[in-house]
Amino acid sequence: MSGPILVGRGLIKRFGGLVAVNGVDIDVDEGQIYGLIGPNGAGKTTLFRLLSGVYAPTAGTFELRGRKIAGLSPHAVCRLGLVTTHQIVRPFADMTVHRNVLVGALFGRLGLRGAAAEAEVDRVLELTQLSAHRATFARSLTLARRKRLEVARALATAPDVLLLDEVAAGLNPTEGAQMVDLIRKIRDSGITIVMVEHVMKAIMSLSDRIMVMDLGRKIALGTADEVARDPAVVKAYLGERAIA
Amino acid sequence: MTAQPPRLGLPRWLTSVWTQAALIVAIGIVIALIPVVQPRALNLQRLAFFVLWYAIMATGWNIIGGYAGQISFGHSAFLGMGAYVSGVLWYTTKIDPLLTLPVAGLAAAAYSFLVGVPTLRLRGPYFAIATIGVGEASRLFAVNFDDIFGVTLTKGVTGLSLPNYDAETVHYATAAVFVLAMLTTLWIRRGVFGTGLFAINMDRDAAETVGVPTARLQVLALAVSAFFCAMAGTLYAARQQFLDPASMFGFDKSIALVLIPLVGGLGTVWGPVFGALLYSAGLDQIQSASRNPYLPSLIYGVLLVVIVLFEPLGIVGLLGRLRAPLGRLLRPSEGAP
Repeated sequence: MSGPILVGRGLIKRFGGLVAVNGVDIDVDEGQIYGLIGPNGAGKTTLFRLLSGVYAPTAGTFELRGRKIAGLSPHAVCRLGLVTTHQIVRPFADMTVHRNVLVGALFGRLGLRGAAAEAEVDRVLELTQLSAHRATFARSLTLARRKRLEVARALATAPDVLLLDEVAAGLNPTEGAQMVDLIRKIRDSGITIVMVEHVMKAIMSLSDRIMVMDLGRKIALGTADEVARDPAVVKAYLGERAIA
Repeated sequence: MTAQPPRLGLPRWLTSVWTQAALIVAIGIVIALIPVVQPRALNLQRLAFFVLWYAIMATGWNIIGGYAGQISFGHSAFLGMGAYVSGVLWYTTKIDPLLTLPVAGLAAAAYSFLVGVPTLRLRGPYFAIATIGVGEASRLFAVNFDDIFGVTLTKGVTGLSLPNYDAETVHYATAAVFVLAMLTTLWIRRGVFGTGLFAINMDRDAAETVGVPTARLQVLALAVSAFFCAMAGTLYAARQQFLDPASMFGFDKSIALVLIPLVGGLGTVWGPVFGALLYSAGLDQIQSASRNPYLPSLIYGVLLVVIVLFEPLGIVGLLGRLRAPLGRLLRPSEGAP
């Protein structure tokens, strides 16, 4: 099961004069939960958008299972097995929960049809605890359910790698714990997860490895304990004097 | 942009694709029988032609405008393209215009590909404005390509007078094209293609990230849309036997194709038909009853404002609210493909 599934080398993204991601290497092993943290503006979301194909990198390569995917459009990346959720949830508001997830099943990596697509939707709704709300229109869901719907729609595309962009943000402690459970279940089903998160409790308890970014660069990499003790990390979060 | 119709807990057979398809075919047959049952009622036949004519075009427009949510103000380009492709072929080579229906459709689909690939990257008002440009540019082409190397093309603003053609034959062909357009729109609405288009309509970026090939689906939707508008153009050429750029490529036609689905029910299967019925037959009756040339437009304008404010699903939405048996039958269900 192990071995790298996702390999990025020298990823750079420039927006005019601003270098949002500045020469980042990333290696994600299959079956891992890989955490990505860093202060605001560190370049986490930009790195995500490079991986999912929303942005094309200014320089650098990026491979999924040895297949080059840098520069492909998001739907093509999704069909190769890497899917992302959005930081600010973007459900298809005037569709039911069921249909939202169905879009993922129909157009995802497997391109399921008919009964097979319906069965997959049922399975994903069950997993994300949305079965009771399948006929509800997405616009009238609570935030916690919309976040789970965002995950469900992505899961229905049958990904190998799932990118989660702050799925625990804005949730209360109970909802947050449910989300952590869900993420663990997804990992246990064999899907590799890369997640950006500001809720430290969630990411520290879940991640097998954590990359810390600051100002577009990777400043630390390791287990939760290792990065928490890393002086460079403490400095980035708390400032120069905290170390002294 | 489009609200999906709410679900009404109806028996499945009523809203099933097969019931709806049977209904479409039945309506087609009934309309086709008008000249047989009422051979002298020429006014009724004229009325039926124009209702179907608008319904075909509005149904085409609805596929890109209502399903995918890309509002085009330039669909007269495809209407005119179809009318002139068949008209000029008929005029110069004497090919029966009804035989060139698919040729006109495919020519317009190819044309839509040409204009769609660049413009469909745009969204909302920017796409709408670009399509106004497409419509106007197409009209100017038709005005200026009056002939090439002595071969007659559009004859410019003077217009192209065509030979006589049997109105009854056109009537049957129109009913057939109407059935084809309706079955196509129903099939798209209930299928994977339509689900993709609605996803694009609601959030193009989100659709893209879950695997929907948004650019390809939109281009395809525009092509299908153009195909039907162009066939309507051919039917018009065969029936009226006179084409001029101002009416075939007219901005008023483009506007009508936005208003009809909007009033009838944007993004629904039957909305364009109701809209066309009201626009063509309804306003025609008011016109002849009142003798005031501005009254129909006034009534239509007021109706449009009321609908946009209170019932985004137009006439279909109103019927659904009534919960009348008719409304139930016609309502597109929020069903699985």
